[in-house]
Amino acid sequence: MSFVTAVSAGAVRAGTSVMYASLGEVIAQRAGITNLGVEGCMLAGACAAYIVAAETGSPYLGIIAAFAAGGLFAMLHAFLVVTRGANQLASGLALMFLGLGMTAFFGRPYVKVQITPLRDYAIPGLSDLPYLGSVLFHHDVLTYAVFPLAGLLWWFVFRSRWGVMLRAVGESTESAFAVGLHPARIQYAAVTFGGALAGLGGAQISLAYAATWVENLTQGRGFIAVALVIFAMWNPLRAMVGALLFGGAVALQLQLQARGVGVSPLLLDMTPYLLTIVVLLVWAQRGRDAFPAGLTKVFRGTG
Amino acid sequence: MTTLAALVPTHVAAAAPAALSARGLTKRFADVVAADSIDLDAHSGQILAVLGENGAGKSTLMKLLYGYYRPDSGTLAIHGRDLELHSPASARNHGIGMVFQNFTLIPALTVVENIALLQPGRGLRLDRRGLARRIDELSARYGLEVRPHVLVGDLSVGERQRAEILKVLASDARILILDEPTSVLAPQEVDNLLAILRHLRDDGFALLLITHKLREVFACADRVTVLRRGQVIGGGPIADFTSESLLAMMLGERQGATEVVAAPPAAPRGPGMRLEHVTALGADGRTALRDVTIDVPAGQIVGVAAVGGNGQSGFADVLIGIAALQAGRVELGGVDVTGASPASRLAAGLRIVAEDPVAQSAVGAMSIRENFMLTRARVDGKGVLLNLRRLAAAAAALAARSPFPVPAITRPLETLSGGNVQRVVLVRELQPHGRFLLVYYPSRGLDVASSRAVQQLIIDLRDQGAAVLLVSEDFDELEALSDQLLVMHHGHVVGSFARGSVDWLRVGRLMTGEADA
Amino acid sequence: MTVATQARARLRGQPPRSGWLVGRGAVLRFGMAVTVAMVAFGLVLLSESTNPLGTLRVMWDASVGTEFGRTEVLVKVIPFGLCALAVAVPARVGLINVGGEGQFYVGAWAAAGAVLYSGLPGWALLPAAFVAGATGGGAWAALVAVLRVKGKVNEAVSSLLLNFVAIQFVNYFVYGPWKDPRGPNWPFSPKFPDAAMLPTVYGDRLSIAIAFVAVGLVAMFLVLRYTRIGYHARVVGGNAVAAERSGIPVGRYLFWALVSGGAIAGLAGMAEVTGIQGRLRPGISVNYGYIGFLAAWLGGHRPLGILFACLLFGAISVGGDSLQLALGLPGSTVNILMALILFAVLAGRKNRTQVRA
Repeated sequence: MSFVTAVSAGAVRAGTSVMYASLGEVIAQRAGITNLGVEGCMLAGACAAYIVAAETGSPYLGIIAAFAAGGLFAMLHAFLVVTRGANQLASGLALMFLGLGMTAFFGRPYVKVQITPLRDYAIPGLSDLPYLGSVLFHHDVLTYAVFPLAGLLWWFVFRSRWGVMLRAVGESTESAFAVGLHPARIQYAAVTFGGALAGLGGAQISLAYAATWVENLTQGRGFIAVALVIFAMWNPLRAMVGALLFGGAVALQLQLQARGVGVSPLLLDMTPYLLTIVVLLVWAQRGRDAFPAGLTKVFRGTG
Repeated sequence: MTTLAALVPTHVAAAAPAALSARGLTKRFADVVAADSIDLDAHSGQILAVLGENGAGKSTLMKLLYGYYRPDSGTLAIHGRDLELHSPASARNHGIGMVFQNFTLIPALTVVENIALLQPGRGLRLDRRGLARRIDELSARYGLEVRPHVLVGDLSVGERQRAEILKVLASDARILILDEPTSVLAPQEVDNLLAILRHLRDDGFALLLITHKLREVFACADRVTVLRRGQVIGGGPIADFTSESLLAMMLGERQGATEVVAAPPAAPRGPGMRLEHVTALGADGRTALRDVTIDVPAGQIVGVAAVGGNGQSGFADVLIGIAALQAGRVELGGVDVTGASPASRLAAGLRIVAEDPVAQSAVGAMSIRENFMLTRARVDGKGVLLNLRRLAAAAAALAARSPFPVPAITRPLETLSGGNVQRVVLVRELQPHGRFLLVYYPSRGLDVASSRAVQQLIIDLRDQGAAVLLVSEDFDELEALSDQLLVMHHGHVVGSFARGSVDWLRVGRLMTGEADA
Repeated sequence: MTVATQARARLRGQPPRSGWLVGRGAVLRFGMAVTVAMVAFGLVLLSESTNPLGTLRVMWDASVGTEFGRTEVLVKVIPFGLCALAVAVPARVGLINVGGEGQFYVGAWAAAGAVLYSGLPGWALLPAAFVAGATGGGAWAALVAVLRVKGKVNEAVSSLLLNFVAIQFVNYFVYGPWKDPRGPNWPFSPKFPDAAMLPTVYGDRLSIAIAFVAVGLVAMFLVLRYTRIGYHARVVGGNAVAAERSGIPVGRYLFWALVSGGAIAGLAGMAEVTGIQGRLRPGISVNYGYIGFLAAWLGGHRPLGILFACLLFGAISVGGDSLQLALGLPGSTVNILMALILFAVLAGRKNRTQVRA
C-alpha cells in the first residue's frame, strides 16, 4: 500500500469516531446547548458496546447499546440544563467525569475479554478500484454509515422543516416560543440524539478501530469533536471534513512513525485546536457572531 | 358623520359577535398592574386602534391576547366562544396572529424558513418552493415585497416588517394584532404599511393596531380604544373623536400644580453642557441622535419630551463618553471633552440618573452602601485600600441627607423594588458636587412625596449652578421644571419652547411625528 | 413588559452573591447534595455487587480516617485549590476560565525550564521556578485575554481549546529536547536537583505549596473586600454597563483578572513539578484544571466555599486511590461520586436560565 493510500485509508478509519461525535454535537449546539460531556457520552457508548458485544457475541447489538448509552448520558445533561437551568459548562464537565468513572467501573471486568470486532466488508467491485478502493471501500459498517449520515444531517439541518425548527430554537428560545414551538422538547431531543451519535463514535473505537476496551479509551476525542463543531461553523458537512483532517493527522503520525521519520507528531496534534481559534478570530473580526445566538448565553460569565 | 366610518360596515359587523373580545383582562407584574380589567372588542373587517402612551399597558394587553402571558383574571372569546389561551401556539390555532414590536423573526434564518416555522402541519419535509409561491401570491396581493430566500438579518427594517406580516398571513390567521408597527419605519414606509392594513381590513381580517400615533389612527382605524395606566379610559367609533379629544384622553387630565414642584425662573450662568451637531449610534446599533445640537447652560434646566425610542436614550452614552460619535462634539463647562475618558468626565462633575437604573447604574449583588460608592469613588478617601469605616459613615450621611427614606444601607440592591433602586441612584447622583446633570425620568416609580422631593433637589442643584438635562414622560414635571423644553422625534430635535410658552397640543403632535417642525 | 420590569426580573434572577465566604444556605445545600450523591453512588456499587458500605469505609479510612490520609487530602488540595482560584478570580469580573488545565501545564513547563536550564545557583532555583510558573501560566492566559479583549473571541471556548495545545506543547518538550539523556528512554525530563524541590511542611509529601492555597484564598477575600481594585472588579463582574458608566476601565480589569487566574494555575503546575514529581513528564495533571473548575463552581467562587469543595474533592480523590489497592476497583470509580455530587447540586440549585416549555 502506498504512503498516500495508507494515510488516506487511515484518515477515514481514525476520523470516523470523531465524525460521529461532532455530528452529534452539531445537532445539540444547533439547538443552543453545548455538551462538553461528549467525551463522557463517547466513553459510555464505547464501553456499553464492548460489554454487550462481549456478552452476546454480537457487535451489532453492541452498536445499539452504544446508541442508547450515549443518548441516556446526554439526556442527563438535557435534564440538568434544560429542565433545571443548570450551567451548561459545569454540567458537561461533570458528565465527562461521570463517563470516566462509570466506564472504568463497569468496564473493568472486560478489559481482558476478547470480542468479535466489527468486520470489514470489502464492497464487491468498488473495493478493487485503485486508491479509492482501499481508502473508501474496505471498512466496517459504522464507517460506511457515517458519510451518508453527514449528508443526511446536512439536509436535515438546512433543508428540512424540523431543521428550521431546530435552528430557530438554537437562535432564540424566546422567539421560537413566540411562534408556537416547544423549545424545551426540541432541545431535549437534540441533546439526546447528539449524545447517541457520540455513543456510536465510541462504539466505532471499541468495536472496530481499537477493537478493545481499556479505561479512558477515547483519550480526549470528545473534546476534539467539540472543537471541530466550532471549526465547522455548525455545518455537518464541514464537520465531516474536519474529522477527516483530524483522522488524517492521526494516520500521518502512525505512518511516519512506522517509517521512522522524525517529524514531531505532537505539534501536528495542536493544529485542530489552533485552527479552530483562528476560525473563531476571523469570524469575530467580521463582526458576525459565529455562534448560534442561543449559545452565546452559555458562555456569558457567571456575573 | 364623517366619511371613513360611513365607508365601513361598522354596524353590520357589530351585530355579529366580535372576532376577538376581552372582558376584564388583568395582569400584574410584581408591584405593577400592567393591565387592569380591560374590555375590548375587535370585529372582522375592521381596524381597532388601541391607543396609549408608553407604559399605558398596550404591549401587555397584546401579549395577553396572543397567549404569550396568561391573565391573572378575565376572559377571552373568539367569535363569541369563550376560550383560554395557554401559549402562542394555542392563539395561533385559533387564528390569532401577532406582529411583534421587536420582531420575532430569527435573523439567522431566511424569510421562507421563518415563515415555515409558523406553518401549520407536521412532518420532516419543508416545501420551500410551495411556500415561496405562497409568499409571492400574498406579497403580490397586498404589496408586501420581500426577497424570500434572503437571511432576515440582511433585510432592511421595512422589509423585515413586511416579512413579519407575511409570516402571520401565511399561517392563515384571521385576527391580526400589530404592536406599534410603524415605530421603526421611515415616513413613506408608514404610508405603505397603512395602505396594506386597509387592504387587509377590506378582505375581512380583524385588525388590532397598537399605537400612540394619532395620525395613523385617523388614517386607517374604524374604532379606537384608549388605554392609560393599564385601564381603558374610553373609546368608540373613530368619527366620535378629534385628535384633541384623543390626546386629552391619552395624556390624562392635566393635574394641578399641587403634585409638582414648580421651579422659579432662573438666569443662565455661563457654559454648561453642550452637544454640537452630534450624531451617534445607540447601544442597539441604530442611530440614536441625528445631528443634535443642544445647549444646557449652567443654572438652567432643559427638558426633553419624546416618545420612547426617539433618540433620548442616546444622551447618556454620548455625555459619559461610551458611545462613539459619528459626528459632532461634546463640551462640559466650555471645555471640549469629545475625546475624554468617562472617568475624567465624572471627575469634571458629570452625573447621570440613568434611564434604567437597575441595568445601567447599579450592581444588584452589592449592598446599597457599596452602590453609593459607584460613581463617587472617592467617597471613602484615596489609596489602594478601601476605608470601610469612612465609607460606612459617608453612606450613612448620604442616606441621612436623603429627602426620602432609603432602605437599610447594608441591604443588597437586588432585594429592593424598582422604586427603591431609583431612590438609591437619585440620592447618589443628585449631590452638590454635580455640575452637569443628566436626569432620566426622575419621578418614575416614586410616590408623590418622594417625587416632589426629587424635583426640589433638581431645582436646588440648578440654583447652585448646575446644568440640568431632564428627560421625562411626565408633562407636568417637564412644564414645571424646564427653563427650556425640547421635543425630540426620530433622533432629531424637532421643537423648542421657552418657559411659560409651552403649547402641549403642539408638543404632542411633534412628539408623535404628526406635525412637522 | 417595560424595560424596568425586565431589568428587575433579570436582577432578581441572578444567583445570590451577597455572602462573602459562602452563599446563604450553601452548607445545607452541600450536605443534602452529598447525601443524595452518596446514596446514588452506593446503588451504582451495589449493581456490580460491590459492598457500598465497605467501599465507603475503605475510602474514609484512606482519606479522612488516618493522619496519613488527611495529609494526602491536603496534598490534593494544592492543585485543586489553585486551579479553583484560577477560575474564581476571572469569574469575579464575569469571565469563564476553562483553561486551568493548560495554564497548569505551561506553568509546570516554565518552572521546569527555570530549574533545569537557567543555570542559576541552587538557592535561586525555587524563586526562579515560582516566578517562571506564574509567568508561564499568566502568559498562557494572556493569550486568551487578548483574544477576548482585542479579538472578541469568547474566553470560555478559547481557553478550553488552548488546554489541548498546552498539553501537546509540554509533550513536545519531554519527548524531544528536554528528554533525560540518561534516562531509560521514557518521556521524562531530567530529575530536578534537591535544591529545586519545595520543602515539605508535614510528612514527606505535603509541601509548602499548601501555603500558596491558603494565601491565595485569604488574599482573594481581602482584595475583594478591602481594596479599591477588588471593589472595581466586583462592579465589573456585577454589571459591566454600570462599571463602564462609572469610569472603570472594564477591558483592563478583564485582561488582568484572566492573567492573574492563569498565573495562579501556573503556580499549581510549578508546585506539582517542584513539590511532587521532581521532573516534567506527560500527564502531570490528572484533570486538575477541570476539577478546579468544578470546585470553584461548586464553591460559588467564594473563598470558603472553594476550600470546602476542594477538601471534599481531595478526600474523594484520595479515597479513590485506595480502592485500587484494597478492593481492586479502578481508581477513577470515584469520579462517579464526584460527578453525582455535582449533578445533585446542579439539579438542586435554583437556576436562572430555564427554558420555557
